[in-house]
Amino acid sequence: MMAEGPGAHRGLAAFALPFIVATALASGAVGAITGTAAIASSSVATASASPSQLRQFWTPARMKRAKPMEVQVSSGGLLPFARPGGGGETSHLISEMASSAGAEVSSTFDVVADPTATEASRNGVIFFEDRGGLARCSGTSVNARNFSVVFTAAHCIHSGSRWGRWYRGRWVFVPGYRYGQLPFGVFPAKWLDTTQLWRRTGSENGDVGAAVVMRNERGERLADAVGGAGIAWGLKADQVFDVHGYPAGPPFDGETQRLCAGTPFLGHDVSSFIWDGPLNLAVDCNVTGGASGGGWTIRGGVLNSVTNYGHPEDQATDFGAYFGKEVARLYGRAARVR
Amino acid sequence: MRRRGTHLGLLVGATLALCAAPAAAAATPFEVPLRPSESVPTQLRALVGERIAPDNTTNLSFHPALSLTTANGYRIGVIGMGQALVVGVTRKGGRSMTAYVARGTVTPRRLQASFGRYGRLAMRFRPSPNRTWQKPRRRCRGAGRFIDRRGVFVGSFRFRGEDSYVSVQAHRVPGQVSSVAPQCAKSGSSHRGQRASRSPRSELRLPEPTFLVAAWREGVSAASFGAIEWFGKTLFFASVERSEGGVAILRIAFEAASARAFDLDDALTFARVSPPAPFKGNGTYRAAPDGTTTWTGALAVNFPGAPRFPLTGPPFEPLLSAGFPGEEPLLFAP
Repeated sequence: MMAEGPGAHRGLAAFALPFIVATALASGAVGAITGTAAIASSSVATASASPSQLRQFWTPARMKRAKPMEVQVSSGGLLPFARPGGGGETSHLISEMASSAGAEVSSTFDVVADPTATEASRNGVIFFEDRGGLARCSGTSVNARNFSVVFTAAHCIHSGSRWGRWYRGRWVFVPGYRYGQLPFGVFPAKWLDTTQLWRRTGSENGDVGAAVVMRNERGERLADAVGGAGIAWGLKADQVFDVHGYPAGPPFDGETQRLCAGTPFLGHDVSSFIWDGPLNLAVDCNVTGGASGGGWTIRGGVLNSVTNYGHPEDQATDFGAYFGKEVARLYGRAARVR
Repeated sequence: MRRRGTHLGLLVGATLALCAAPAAAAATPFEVPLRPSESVPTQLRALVGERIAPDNTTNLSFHPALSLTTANGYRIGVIGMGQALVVGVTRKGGRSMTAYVARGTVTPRRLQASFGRYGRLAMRFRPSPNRTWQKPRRRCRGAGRFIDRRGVFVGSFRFRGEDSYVSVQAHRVPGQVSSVAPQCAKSGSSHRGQRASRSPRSELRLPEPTFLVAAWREGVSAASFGAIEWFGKTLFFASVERSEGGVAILRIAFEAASARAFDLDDALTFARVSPPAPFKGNGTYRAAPDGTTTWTGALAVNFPGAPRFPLTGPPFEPLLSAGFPGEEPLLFAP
């Protein structure tokens, strides 16, 4: 869980990696670097601290100290199956809970002036504790029948692969966060899960996770408090996205919600062709650490990807997972949790 | 968001993997960029060999592969890797390769994928009635880690490279399906375990290599050039990657040369490279006292389908360094 500045390891990292990637490719080894924990179960219930207790724990100082989530997993899935963007997928769209207007086009991560406004308040910061360290990601409230589903990146929930571990320590979602303020309170997770692809192989192509959260300190359900984005899967990859998130790596500080509005699909990362799972998506958006898990919405407010990673040599491009069958199954599991 | 440094890694890695994988390497162009060369230092070859022969190769269940040669001297190899089908093109005797990667169906019996405007492959494997099994070699090194079943791929394979530099239409191509020999992985693992447990007292520190890397990346495209000077020899490589709809195109070139091809000063403020073919021209690195660097010259490389690809100029960000940053010192037993 290391914060990594932009451009770190430029060049030399690229030089050293051939051998590492070669090893992964030649062996089919996937995500086998991290610990020796038991094989992950299909989902996990989190510790039962109350919202009030967690709000007391997550002081502004601790939230500021939380580092953008970085994952030690090296993925290189070679194992069978899945089709590239849209092929063989049945498209499906669950509408958002409130309509939202389209935004202006921008590939820079602009500040959202009012994170408590209707559409913006669905986005928030995820804080959690792992092995004594404090970590942060971004997430999005999604419309579901339990009114309590948050979508984020899988690497904000589980370290990936069969030997990975869950990040369930004091995991909370803070919608509409701004400069230490919690306008809608904190929503502690009671259930966490990721795509099976992520838990099985650690493939970046499956880097999507979901949480079901408890009520906040005021007894409100998440979607009652802030609404929920719609969600769609099985659509063609070529969409125009609004990328949301709370980047905390320089030049950002993680204290404000940011938005790249109307950024079009650029293509698939070449690495994505080798990893297991559907080909991922690239968009032009200058994000940094902490934006992991931030929602990519289409059509004004329908979640269709989340931020996964970027390359150190190109700060301007953001990569996110394609929402296909695996994500549909994940959504189904999350929506059924009571 | 995480930052991944895979840009060059994928390219070189894919090639290394293709080379390392199956005995397919012995029959396809994939071996070309990394075939053992007398001019590459033994230690470097050993290091590469160690990295591409991991302990857990049993995760790879099978590799179908086929190859053919075109009338204008190109060799085309096809290999299945997980969900990806890779068409690799090399010029006979050359040290560069272009690989076209597409998702498709890869089973021990069937290969199928569309390469968009480049072509399409849909073939079934018919094993030879006279089975040829390659027995694993002792210690499970190299191609002996796999068992090959030879035969013929039958169906349709149409492929045409950029500007028709290579074109093929085939319905019947000899090939093989290679699968991992399980006993090999076991043997290889114990061997490395023994190495790791050796006393530090018996280990020697290797001299530090010097690196020159120049790279750029934008969106879903990237290019890089690198030179490693080690043990008086220099290894040059270049790679380019780009995705184009449902096809990823990877180009890679490798060549070794003497240390004279990589001239640099002790302060690491100046370096000039003059790599041999498939490279062409020179590249000059300069670092100013204020920290700014330049990477200039007419250095280019010939890839199949992309002749004279430029490797210098403003998009490239250069870095000259000594040692392996961020890694433990490399050790080996005398």
